Amino acid sequence: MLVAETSGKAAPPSEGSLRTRMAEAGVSAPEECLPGVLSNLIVLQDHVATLRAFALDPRSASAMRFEA
Amino acid sequence: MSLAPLSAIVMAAKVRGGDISAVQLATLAFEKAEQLGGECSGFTRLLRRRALARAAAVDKLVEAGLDPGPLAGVPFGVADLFDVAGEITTAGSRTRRNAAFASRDSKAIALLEAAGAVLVGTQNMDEFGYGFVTMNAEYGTTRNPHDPSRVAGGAAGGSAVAVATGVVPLSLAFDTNGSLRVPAGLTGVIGLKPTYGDLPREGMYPFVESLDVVGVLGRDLDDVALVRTILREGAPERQEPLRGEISFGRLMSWFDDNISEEMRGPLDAFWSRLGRISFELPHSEIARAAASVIIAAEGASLHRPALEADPMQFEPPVRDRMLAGLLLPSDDYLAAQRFRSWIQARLRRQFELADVLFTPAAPGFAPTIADPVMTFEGKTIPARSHLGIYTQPISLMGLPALVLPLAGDFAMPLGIQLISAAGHEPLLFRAARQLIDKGLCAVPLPPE
Repeated sequence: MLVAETSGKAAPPSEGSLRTRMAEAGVSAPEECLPGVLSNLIVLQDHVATLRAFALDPRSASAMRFEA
Repeated sequence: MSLAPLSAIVMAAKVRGGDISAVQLATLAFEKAEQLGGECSGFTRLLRRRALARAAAVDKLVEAGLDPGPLAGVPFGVADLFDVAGEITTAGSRTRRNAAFASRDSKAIALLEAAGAVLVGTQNMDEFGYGFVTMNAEYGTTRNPHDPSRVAGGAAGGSAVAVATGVVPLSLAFDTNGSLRVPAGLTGVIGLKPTYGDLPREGMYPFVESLDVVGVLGRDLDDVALVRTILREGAPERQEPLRGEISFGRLMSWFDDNISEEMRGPLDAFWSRLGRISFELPHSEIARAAASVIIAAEGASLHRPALEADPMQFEPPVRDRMLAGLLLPSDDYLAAQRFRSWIQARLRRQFELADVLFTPAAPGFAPTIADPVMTFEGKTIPARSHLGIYTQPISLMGLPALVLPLAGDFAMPLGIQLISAAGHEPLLFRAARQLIDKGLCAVPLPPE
């Protein structure tokens, strides 16, 4: 079973894990969609990794304030 | 030879002075749009009956010696996500083909028409604003007027093309992550993305609530400034105006990487004329990552019911991105929003060093429709998802930006993005005026 390798570093998704995650999230799509969804999920996971690598204390900034 | 179209302000003066009628202006706009056709005019729907009735009402006010307002008889268009009473707001999506008709106009349309302007039609966009190319499977691909084999950029490409071709002097559009700035840069028009929250969004179909803004595209700087003033309904400016000489600084690192050859030379020349001062904007790549996470999560959440009902009704690139977005953990979304607050606070100090920062609006010339790709970190990647690499971090920061075309004899338009501190739009307009007066920026004539 794939697990997080180190703190904050996620295991890469696969078509198998994607099917599971979609089912758990309550969404379904035809099989032909899975490669496209997977490649987008990998891109998103790269963005998340970039974000997680920046160790921002969760108490140091609000997540609910949008005005510049 | 092509002639420069009249600005909105000049058009309105002529209507008020009785030199031309609002009905004539609307008719000219329809003739030009029809002559170009949907792909080349940017329009998806022409609202002939509504516009001619509205224009006739403006003319009657003039005949009665009354003033219809500062935009008297000026034709304008809107991206097809602004509610137009009695029409379906498609937001560029097939999923909304059978949506209810809008019961009233969006607030931005109502304000412009109260100032005398005449809405003539709706304009093409990427489905739900999720893309940078305006290649729409349901409503067609909008072509770049400077080379019809190339994309207009997006998501609000139809709105930019309608202005670049001179069909209308103004378009109302939206900007989530560069939606109007990228096409402004690629088609050679002026595009204002205001500070988050500056202009009214009522009646605008949302995409990413924490990033969406209403914006303006035009050929004339004073026209764009006037529209902003009208849409703000007399609200006081958030910041005291900065006086004195404006200092400019070029953003480097993220904003200097991946620039194409055709952009680099003109950008360096522009920078040299402004004193070759440069700055870093640390963490821009994280800002782009955070923006991407926020868009994926909020966009997917908004469309979850439709995705559950029938994902195949969406265009494949949009569907796949949104389905992936549904799988993002809430913790990552909140971390992205926290980063946004954090970097916004840090940025305020950046503007103590320079009043106006600048970057390219897009990496280079518009990509071709046949092969809509670009180079990023040495790899060939889809332009649909990446043309906004220089606009995305600025959206996350919530800052105002104004895109201007670089002056010069280039094969295709090249746009510069000017950025100021939040609430300093008047400074951006003053900086843009200075650059136009110096001959560094100019809107190209509509192609013949």
